[in-house]
Amino acid sequence: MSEFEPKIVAFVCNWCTYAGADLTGTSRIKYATNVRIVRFPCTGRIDYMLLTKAFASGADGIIVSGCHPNDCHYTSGNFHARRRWMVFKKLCDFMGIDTRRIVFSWVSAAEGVKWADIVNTTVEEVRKLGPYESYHKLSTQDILA
Amino acid sequence: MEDIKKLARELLADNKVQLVLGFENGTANRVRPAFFTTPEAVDKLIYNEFCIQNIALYLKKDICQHAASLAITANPNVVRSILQLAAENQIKEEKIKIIGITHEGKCVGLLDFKAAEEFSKTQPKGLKDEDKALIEKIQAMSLEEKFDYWVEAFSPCIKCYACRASCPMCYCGKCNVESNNPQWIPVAPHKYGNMEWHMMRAMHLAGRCINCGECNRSCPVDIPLNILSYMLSDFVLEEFESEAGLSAVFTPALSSYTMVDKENFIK
Ligand code: SF4
Ligand code: SF4
Repeated sequence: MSEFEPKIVAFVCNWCTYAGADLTGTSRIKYATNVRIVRFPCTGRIDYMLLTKAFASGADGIIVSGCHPNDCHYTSGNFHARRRWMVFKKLCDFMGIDTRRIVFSWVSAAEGVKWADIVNTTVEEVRKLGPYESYHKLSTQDILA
Repeated sequence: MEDIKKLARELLADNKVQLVLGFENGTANRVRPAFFTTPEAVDKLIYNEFCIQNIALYLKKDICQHAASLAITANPNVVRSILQLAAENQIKEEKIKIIGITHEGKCVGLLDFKAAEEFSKTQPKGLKDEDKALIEKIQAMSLEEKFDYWVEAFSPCIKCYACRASCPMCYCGKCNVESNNPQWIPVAPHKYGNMEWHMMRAMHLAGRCINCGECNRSCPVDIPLNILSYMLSDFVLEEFESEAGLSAVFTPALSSYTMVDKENFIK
C-alpha cells in the first residue's frame, strides 16, 4: 500500500479531449485511474493559475489537453492557449517549477486510444519523478513557517 | 532643462494643453512627480538625473483621465510606456503632447506618435548589465536551485504591491490579487503566496512589459522581480518577434497568435 501512486489532474476542453476521454471509456479501453478530469469550455479558458492551484492542492502531475489546431469549437481558443503555454512553460522553467510534470496535448473526440496513452505515459513518468514534494511543501508547511 | 520649461510654458500659455505632467523638487533633496496647470507654475518644473521614475503611470489616474489634453516630460521609458498604453487603447494621440528627453537628459522637442516610435528605436531599453548577468546566472542553475533561489528571493516580500502600483502597465481597475471568491492569490505574504503572486504578475506583463525597471526600484525590499518580466520580454521577442513599447499600433504577443507557433512541446 505504501507504493507511490501519482495524483494527476487533467484540464481538458469540453469539445475534443473530454469527448475523447468519453470515447476511451465507451470503447472499454483500460487506463490508469490516477487521473482526475476537470472539464472546461475551451483550452483558452484554462488559466495557468489553475495549474499552480492543482500542484498546491497535492497534484503530482498535470495534463492540459484540447482540440487540435484548427479544430477549436471557438475557432482560436487553442491558438491563444498554445502561446500562453509556451510563455508559461518558459516562466516555470526559469522559476524552477518542474515542467516535466506538466503535459500538454491535443486529443480529439475520435482519439480515445491516444487519451489512454497520454494518461498512461504521464502516470508512468510522474511515478518515476516521485511526489512533487517541493511545491507541496511550499503550499502546506511553508505557510506556517 | 530650460528648453523643457519653455516648451511646457508655451503649451500652457497657448492653451494647447490643460496640464503638464513632470517633476518638481520635493523635500529632503528628492524629486517628485508634479502636475502644472499654469505657465507661471512651470517655474518649478525640473528635469535632472534623479527624475527616473516612470511617470507614465499617472496617465491612467483620474487627474489625467479627466484632462482634455496634457503634456508630459518623457524620458525613453515614459515614451515606451505611452506607446504601449496607446497600443492597448488606453490613451489617444490627440490628447497627449510628448516632450521627448533622451537618456542623457537632452530635450528633443515635441514628439507625435510616429516620431516617438522612431525615438524609441534609437534609445536603448532600461535593461542593465547586472540584470542580464542575473538572468544568465539563474538560467545556468539546476531546477532545484532555481526553485530555491526564487523562494528565497521572494521571502522578504511583504505584499505591499508597490511594484504593481508603480507599473504603468498594471492599470486594471480590479486586480486578480484582490479577488477573494475565488481567492487566486493568498493574502498572507508567506512563501507560497509570494510565489504565486510573482508568477501571476510576470504572466500578466508578458509581452507588455516595457522594461523600465520601475517595479524593482519601487520595491522596499529590493526583490529583483523585474528580472522575470525582462526574461519573458526576451523570450517573447525571440519566439514571436514582438516587442512592447515600440509602436502605438501593436497587438501584444499574448493577445494574438499565428498558425505556425511552436508546438514541439505538445503531445
Ligand atoms: S513590469 Fe516593471 S519593468 Fe515592466 S513595465 Fe512594469 S514597472 Fe516597468
Ligand atoms: S514591491 Fe516588493 S515587497 Fe512589495 S509586493 Fe512587490 S515584490 Fe513584494
